[in-house]
Amino acid sequence: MIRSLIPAALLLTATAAQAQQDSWTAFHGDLASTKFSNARSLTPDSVGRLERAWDYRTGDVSDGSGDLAETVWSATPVYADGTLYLGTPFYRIVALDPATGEERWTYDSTSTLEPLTQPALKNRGVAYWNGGDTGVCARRVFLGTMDAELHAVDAETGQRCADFADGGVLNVNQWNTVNDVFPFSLLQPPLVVGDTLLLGWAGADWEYSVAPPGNLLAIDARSGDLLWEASFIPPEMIDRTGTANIWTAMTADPDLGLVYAPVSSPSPNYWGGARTDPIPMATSVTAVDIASGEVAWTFQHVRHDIWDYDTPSAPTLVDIPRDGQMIPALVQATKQGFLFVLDRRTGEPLFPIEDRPVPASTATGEVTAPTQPFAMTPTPVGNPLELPPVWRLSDIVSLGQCSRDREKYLYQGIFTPPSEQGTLFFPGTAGATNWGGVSVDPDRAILYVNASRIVQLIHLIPRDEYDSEAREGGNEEGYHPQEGAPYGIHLTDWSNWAGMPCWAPPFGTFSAIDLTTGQTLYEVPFGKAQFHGFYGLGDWGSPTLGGPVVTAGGVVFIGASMDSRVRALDAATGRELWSDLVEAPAVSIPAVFTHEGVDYVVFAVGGNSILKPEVSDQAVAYRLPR
Amino acid sequence: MRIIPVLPLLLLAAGAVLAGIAFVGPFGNTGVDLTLGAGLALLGSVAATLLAGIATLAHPRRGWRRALIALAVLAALLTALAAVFLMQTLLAAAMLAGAAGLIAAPFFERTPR
Repeated sequence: MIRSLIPAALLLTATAAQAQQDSWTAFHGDLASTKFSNARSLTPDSVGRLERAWDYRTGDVSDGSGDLAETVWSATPVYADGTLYLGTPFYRIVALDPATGEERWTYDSTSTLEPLTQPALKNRGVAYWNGGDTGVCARRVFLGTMDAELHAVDAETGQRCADFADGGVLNVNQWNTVNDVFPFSLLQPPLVVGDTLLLGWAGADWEYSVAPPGNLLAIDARSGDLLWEASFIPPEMIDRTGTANIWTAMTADPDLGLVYAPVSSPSPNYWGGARTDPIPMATSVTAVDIASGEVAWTFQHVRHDIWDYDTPSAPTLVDIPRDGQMIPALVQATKQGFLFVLDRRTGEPLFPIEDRPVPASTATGEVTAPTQPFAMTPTPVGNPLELPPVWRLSDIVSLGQCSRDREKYLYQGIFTPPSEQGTLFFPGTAGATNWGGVSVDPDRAILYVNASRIVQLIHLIPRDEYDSEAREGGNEEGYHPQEGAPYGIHLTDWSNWAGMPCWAPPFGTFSAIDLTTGQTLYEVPFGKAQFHGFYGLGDWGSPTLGGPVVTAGGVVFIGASMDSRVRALDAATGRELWSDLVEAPAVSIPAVFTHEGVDYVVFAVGGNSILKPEVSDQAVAYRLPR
Repeated sequence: MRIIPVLPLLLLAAGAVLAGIAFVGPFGNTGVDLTLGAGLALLGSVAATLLAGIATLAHPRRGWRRALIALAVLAALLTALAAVFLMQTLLAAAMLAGAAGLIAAPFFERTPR
């Protein structure tokens, strides 16, 4: 009898695992943030036949020309239990039929539509929780808002869950009690581990010196009660700095009981004279015990961050073969272009990390760290250690302006400090990588990543000059006050009078890296840049925002580029296999899942003015012809 | 009216329509709608069409006609170049063919016996 039960149990387990792999129940598809889909029908041979299954408009879009601020929509759709869920930048939830794109229900948080902490109305989607019961609110969808509310609604009907917090709405700002110069903006959905919601928030760390200290909140998914709070700023420093928050997605390993938090930089972003004491968890990846909130380990990848090189994406978990064993590893992609590969049990590096001397600052009161960690294996992405040369075409068009700039402004390698003279800043604040992070094929331990190559120009402006200078331009022109610091800043892309980049292409790349050896398998220009409508040549590539998904069939799906195309690449070579023009740059991570036996790829197409001034409310799904 | 002299004009006019579609995007996203580049392409294609139209239909004196055709060819070629970088293949083809037609048309014109 027992013997006959075993195959059935195994089958059940296998089926459950398969169902999980074929779903996309979290921002990155799974808790490990692999961005890997089991979709096997999507192969290099088949993707050329992809067609649009449906095209849905949320209606929640603004280009900023009217009363509403511009929208930035970088949501990854969530597919769970047969329904597709989208969060919108007007803080609504839309539940769709994955096969047809027809609305099943919508929910409006009626949140304020003011950009309280950000220059735009932003949303990165929703979170899904399955309590394992049946009945009302046994399965829930969670949506955060700009004004710090977390809404819980029934996944079946879209009705608020009355038993969660205050009638289905949790005021997260009740825990914003220190330096509350701005609210906890909940733009990234929480990470759901069991019955625990792990929640970070976004702020405005470039605007203020003293700001709310960064923390990680653990909340009961059933009641909305606060379970614990982990803080990332030493208590003795909260009167001098703040943030070091978690604005992006997180990762968890339930077996180890750890959540991995990508902690951002302390405030203000570009001058640290008031926070020269160590802040060990700022600009780090930090492992926190899910049950207790205790910090298990932390790895700081930028010391005394004055470049806004905050940790932009969730680390990705993958097991790497080493000396005959499988080592549970974690890969943290960074704005610097370094990929830090750590043992996720301890935070110890699995490839050598060099401490290299970096330049000192000349700014008033600033004390830069003498060294910074350099991860040279795997090879850094986007070649971040070498400032791209002046682009001859741009230089000719500007009658030598770019060459003169190169001579005039400071550049002493990566980690050159911001200066009054003006510093060429590479990789710029958008980073070599950003919230798209990396995807990993766990069976092959191969990592896929898109990287930007953007050079920026940053000036520290003494306080007594800042107000008069910034008044003419303001935030949209790249001025940020850093209130409380002796300097405001001006930050722009390094370009000529016509808006052409002063640095030579490629502007973006796509790479595959073997995590067993750390060797780069290929790095190719990716996407097409676009200026005033004109497309760049094929080998120029494009800066990117958003990330890749890799499938078991050997295909990478990615939007992210300036040219408003979504693409399928051959995972083996990086060669483009298929593309489709959408309404704006798809600055999100696609969701890839199997619904009723059919594989779907869904992109949220939101646009982002960092790439180009084009926004959209389009969600578009692709599948192979039936 | 003989077809050969008018053919380049029709091609350029078609190009202007295509440029208008690329700029306005009435049938959906063109990837370049409402951009400066598409606006310049529209301007170039309309200019080429007008210049070629005057040269072909208004029967100006020979010197003027040559000058107008030279300008129309220049506008058409620049528009074709812009269209290549705007990834508007049909527009580029129409403008190139129109320019080629303007250059070639005199060779096909019958001289009075």
